[in-house]
Amino acid sequence: MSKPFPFSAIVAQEDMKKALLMAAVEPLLGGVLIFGDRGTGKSTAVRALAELLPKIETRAGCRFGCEPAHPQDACPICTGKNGERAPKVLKVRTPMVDLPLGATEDRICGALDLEKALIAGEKDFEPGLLAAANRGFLYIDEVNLLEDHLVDLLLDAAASGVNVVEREGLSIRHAARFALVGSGNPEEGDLRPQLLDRFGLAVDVRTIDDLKQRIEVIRRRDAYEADPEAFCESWARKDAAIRNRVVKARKILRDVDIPDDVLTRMSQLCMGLGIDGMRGELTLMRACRASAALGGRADVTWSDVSEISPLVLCHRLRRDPLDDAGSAPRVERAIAAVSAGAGHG
Amino acid sequence: MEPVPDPDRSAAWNDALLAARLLKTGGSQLGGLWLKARAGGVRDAYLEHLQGVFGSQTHWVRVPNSIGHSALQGRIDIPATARTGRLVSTPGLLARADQGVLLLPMGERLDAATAAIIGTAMDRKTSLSPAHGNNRDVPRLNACFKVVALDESASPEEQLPYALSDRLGLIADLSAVSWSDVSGTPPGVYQDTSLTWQDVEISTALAEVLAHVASAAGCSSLRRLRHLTLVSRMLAAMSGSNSVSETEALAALRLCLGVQLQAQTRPEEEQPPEAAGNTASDPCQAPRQQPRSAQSEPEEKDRTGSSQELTELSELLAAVSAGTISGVPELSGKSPARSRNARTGKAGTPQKNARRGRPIAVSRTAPFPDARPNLLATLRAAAPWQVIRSRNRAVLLARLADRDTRSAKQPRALITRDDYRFQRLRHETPSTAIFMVDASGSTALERLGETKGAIEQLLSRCYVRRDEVAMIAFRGRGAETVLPPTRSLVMAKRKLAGLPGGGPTPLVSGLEKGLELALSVRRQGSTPVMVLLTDGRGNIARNGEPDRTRAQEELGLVAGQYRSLEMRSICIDIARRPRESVASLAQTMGADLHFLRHADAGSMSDVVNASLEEARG
Repeated sequence: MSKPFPFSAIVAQEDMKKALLMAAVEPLLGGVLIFGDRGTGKSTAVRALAELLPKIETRAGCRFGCEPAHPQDACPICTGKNGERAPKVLKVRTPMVDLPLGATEDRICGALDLEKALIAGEKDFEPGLLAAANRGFLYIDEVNLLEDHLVDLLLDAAASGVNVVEREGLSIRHAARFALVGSGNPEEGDLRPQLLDRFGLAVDVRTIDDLKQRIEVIRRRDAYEADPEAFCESWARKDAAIRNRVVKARKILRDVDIPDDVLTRMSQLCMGLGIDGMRGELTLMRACRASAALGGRADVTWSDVSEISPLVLCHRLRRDPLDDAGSAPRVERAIAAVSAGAGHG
Repeated sequence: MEPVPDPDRSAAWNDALLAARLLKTGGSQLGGLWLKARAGGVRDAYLEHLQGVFGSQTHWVRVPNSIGHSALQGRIDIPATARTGRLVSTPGLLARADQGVLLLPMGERLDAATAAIIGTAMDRKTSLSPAHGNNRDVPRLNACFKVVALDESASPEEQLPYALSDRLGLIADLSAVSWSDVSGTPPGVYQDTSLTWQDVEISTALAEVLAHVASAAGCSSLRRLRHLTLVSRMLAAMSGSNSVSETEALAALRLCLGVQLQAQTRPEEEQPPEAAGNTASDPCQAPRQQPRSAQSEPEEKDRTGSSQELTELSELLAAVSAGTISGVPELSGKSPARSRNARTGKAGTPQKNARRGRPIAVSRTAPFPDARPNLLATLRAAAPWQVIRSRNRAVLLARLADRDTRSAKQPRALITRDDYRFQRLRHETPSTAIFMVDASGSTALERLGETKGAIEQLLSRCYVRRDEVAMIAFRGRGAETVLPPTRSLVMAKRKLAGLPGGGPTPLVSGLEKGLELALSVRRQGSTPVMVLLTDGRGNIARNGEPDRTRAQEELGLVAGQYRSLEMRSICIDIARRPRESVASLAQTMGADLHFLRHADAGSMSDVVNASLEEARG
């Protein structure tokens, strides 16, 4: 397969790019939902991201994405359960697993290995897509067309970071820490509200209106199709710059500090918008940390919050689904109110 | 048919032939061809021509409409697996179509998920099997193919799923082509020019005009814009020039956007009746002489600032921006594709055979094609028989021994067809609320706004419970399905806001249309709940004539059908004072009667809500 389209060559769609990078920095965010028009580069961006991210270490033949230093019990290869020595450590691309729409539950969670069961009569576990996506990304195009029970399953695994399989006489637990990225077009059917708020970030992508930018998109795409290698080469430096930002952000993420007054105002904001539960606030905090880390700063400022909160909060509002104005203006108003109340910071 | 060649018709045929040639050149770069044509001689001739153009070595893979996802993406080959003792998987249709053509007959019936799978394969040029081939170890199968989607849609509710139509670069409409145009055309053999499209440059000014026309046409997808520039470059290469000129750009607009463009940025707006102009009433058949008619449009200021040689293009642009050219409405992407069988797949599938839901029981027959057997239950069913079967087998083998010399190894488990067990799932039956709204002048003026408010409340409740909603409005001379059954609230809201009012009351047509829709909903296994909002003064007969007595008679007949078909219906009187006519109508229909009091939308929404709850059962 040829190289995917470079991340830095994607024109505009800043919100989407930022959300994806934040998810790459902080896997605990709980996934990104990209909803919007077709042909806006949703899948292109996700695929580009996986190429851009730094490589991860794992052992050859490991199908659970184990870290070499911390092998999982479920993995027969890394633990050396099958009597052999653990194979050598490899550097591989960040896993980027596509979830095809027709996928079954077995395929996602993993199931009894049919081949071994039939031939050798052994009860063995065949890891599924969740295992393959460990420490990487799981991408679902058209997430709104996926069967509901599968979405439940995915979100559950994404939120807990563990996949528990209790079926067909198997009892397996393995890590499934991945950033879930879903995309879709709301006009073909919405996601259930319960599911909506389990995505950490939601981005609404619109098609580019600016004529110049539209032409630029076409030009770059043409250049890419004509010679993918050369095109990627010419963008390699910019991609590397973004990669370095992500690597650096990951390093400083845990040290990013949120001042108390910003935290207070965050809570005020969430209360003012009437957001149920703590998930919104927690995600907002994590997202702001990730955003500050991406900016190379060790402190979260109020401007981070006001920039990030639409991505985090819009889809969590208990909204009248028929309210045409959408939730973005409400969030903006609330931010303005909180900023005004506490003075500028 | 008259053998007189009509210039427009043969133009449509020539365009279609050109599209065939472009598809051959562009291949999977262009995605494929969206062929709008009903079954018939013309279409057959065209497909034959396509086959001729591609040559005999290109293989065609026909995708049956009812295809399961695993057949598309590949699955385990059970006989081969059993024979060889290793897991063998067969490639799906997508992988088999590699380097060939994927033909989708009846594309408008394709369900959205299948279309999305095909679309993903088109993007990625590989096929991803969900059945086998785990993550990064197993190479993906190549699936680089061209798609030819046949679209036979007759009504606006049926259309090619948007996931697919967006990716098909070329459009050919054969609905206006007559047989006489076709018979004269020999299967084309084209000589190749030395130029390829990569050599052709497109000037920024021209590209901007193309982008402008496309976005003015309400077609905002960047994929389509890319196809547009590609096609114009290919056309230039074919004519042996190394830069794109206006003629090619115009041709590309015709081939990629179907030229009859239309501003659809605000779909709530009623199409201005003069949009289709003096040409044809059916927008699908709006002929291709539009560039010419565009010239007659009052010229707008050339806002692109491009040079004068682009006059024709800028006129087209002006006409498009002014919304005076009717287009391929599907292209705007604002009305989503929703094939009728999107959810349940097969008509009349009982819900106990659901693909999702809670597991209820294990059964011997597969609840749906591609169902995976429940392995444990299967083995458990086979276990008690093992001793008997192996004894039987030994006897049989001994009897066959002299005829068949092959040594037969004793398998570990003897499983026969009877042992297979499948998991059954139960899924709650969905219900569909069909609103039939009287938007005539008698009600509209005073209470349409209020009625809309009440419907909105109901919609949001339906949304919470994941019911589907549909809406039919009747006013003027007839009824129309404003909103086919959908779960998308965005659409419902938009359509409702744009619902115009005024005119006489074709109550009969409204009820009739509602009944048709209800029956089709019922066939899909969902329970329809009819909500009729009217003031009961039907004054237009079924044929559109203003004949009050006839309207009354017909009303009785249609309403009687509701009762005999046992449609659950609710009749809501929205007149200022309760009317006798509505009461008697409700009685004939067997409907519950309610009044919408002033400023009391809440209670109406409660009433309908209760009915929907009951319908769920």
